[in-house]
Amino acid sequence: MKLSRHHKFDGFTLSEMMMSVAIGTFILAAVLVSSVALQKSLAAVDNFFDTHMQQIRIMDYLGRDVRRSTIVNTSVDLQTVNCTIPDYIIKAGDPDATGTNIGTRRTPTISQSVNVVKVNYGTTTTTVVFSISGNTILRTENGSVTTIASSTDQLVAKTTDVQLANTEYTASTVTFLPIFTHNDVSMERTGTTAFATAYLRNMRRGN
Amino acid sequence: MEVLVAAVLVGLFFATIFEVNAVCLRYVSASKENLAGIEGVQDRLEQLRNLDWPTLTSSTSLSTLLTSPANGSPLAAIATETVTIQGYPSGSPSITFTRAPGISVVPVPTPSTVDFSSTRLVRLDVTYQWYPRLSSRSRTEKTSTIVSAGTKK
Repeated sequence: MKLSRHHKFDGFTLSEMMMSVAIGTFILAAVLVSSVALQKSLAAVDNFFDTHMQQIRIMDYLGRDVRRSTIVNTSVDLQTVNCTIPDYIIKAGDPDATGTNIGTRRTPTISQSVNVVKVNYGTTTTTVVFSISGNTILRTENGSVTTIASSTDQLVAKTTDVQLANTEYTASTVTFLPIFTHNDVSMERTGTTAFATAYLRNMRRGN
Repeated sequence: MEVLVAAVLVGLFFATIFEVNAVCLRYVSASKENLAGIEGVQDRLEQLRNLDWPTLTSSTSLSTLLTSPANGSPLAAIATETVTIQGYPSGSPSITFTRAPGISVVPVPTPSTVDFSSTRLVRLDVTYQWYPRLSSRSRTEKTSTIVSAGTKK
C-alpha cells in the first residue's frame, strides 16, 4: 500500500500580511521613539544634577566670602555682589610682609573699650566681586578672575543685602533653566531655586 | 498564544521605560529636596548663631524667631523643624522647639521655659524632617554647633 503524502501549504493573504507588517512597524517605531525619549530623559537628569552641583558651589563661594566680609553691597539687579574683606593673609607687597611670612595668617591687633572688643587686621582690604557674564558666574578677587560655575542652563544668582540695626546678612537665590523645559519657562526656573542665607560675621551680635 | 506573549513583552517594555523615567524624576525631586534641607538647617543655624546670648537663651524670643521658616524654600514650609538648645557639655538644661510644617507656625517649646542664667556654653541642634513626594519614608537633615556666652563686635 502506498501512502499518499498530503502537502498543505497554508500562506497568509495579502491583507493579513499588510496588517501584520503595519502593526510590526508601529510597534518598532514606538520602541524606537521610547528608547530615544528615555536616553534624552537620562541625559536631561544628568545635566540637571551637574547644574545642581554648580548651584551648591556658587552658594558655598558666596557664603564663605560674605561671612568674612566687613562690607557687602549688591547691584540694583541683584546679580553683582561686592564684598570687602579684611586682609587676613599677608601678601607680597604688604607693609608687614617679610621674606618668610607671605601666605601666613596676619596677627590682628586687639583693643577693648568698655564692652567692645575690636579686632583690627590693618587698613588694607581684599575686594571680591561676584558677577554674571553670559553663561558663567565669575568671582573676581583683587582683579584676579575665577570662573566658579559655567552652564548653558543659564545660571542666575541673585543676592539681596539686608542691613539691620546691629547686623547684616545676605539672602541669595540661585536658579537655572533645565534643558527639558516645557511650556512655562518661568515656572521651570522657579522650580530650581536654591536658597541660602549668610550673616556677616564681623557685623553680628549687637550687645 | 504567540500574540499574547508578544503583547505581554511589549507591555513590559513600555512599563519599564515609564518606570525608569519616573525613577529619574523622583531622583531629581529628591535631590532638590535634599539641597533645600541642607540649606534650610544651615540658614536656621546662621540665624541662631547671629543672636546675642540673652535672645538665644530666651524661649519667648526663639519662639518668635522660629515662627517664620528659615528661608523661602517650599521645603521649609512642609518640613517639621526641631531646634534643641542644651548646656554644653553637660546636656542640661535643655529645651526643644518643635515647629510643625507651615508658613507661619508658632513652635512648641518643651519644656515651656528653661533657665540658662548659669550656662555659658550651649549646643544647638537643628533638624529638618520631611516626607518626599510619592514616598512614605521620611528624610532627615541635621546640623549642630556650639555657641558661647559673650559679646562680639
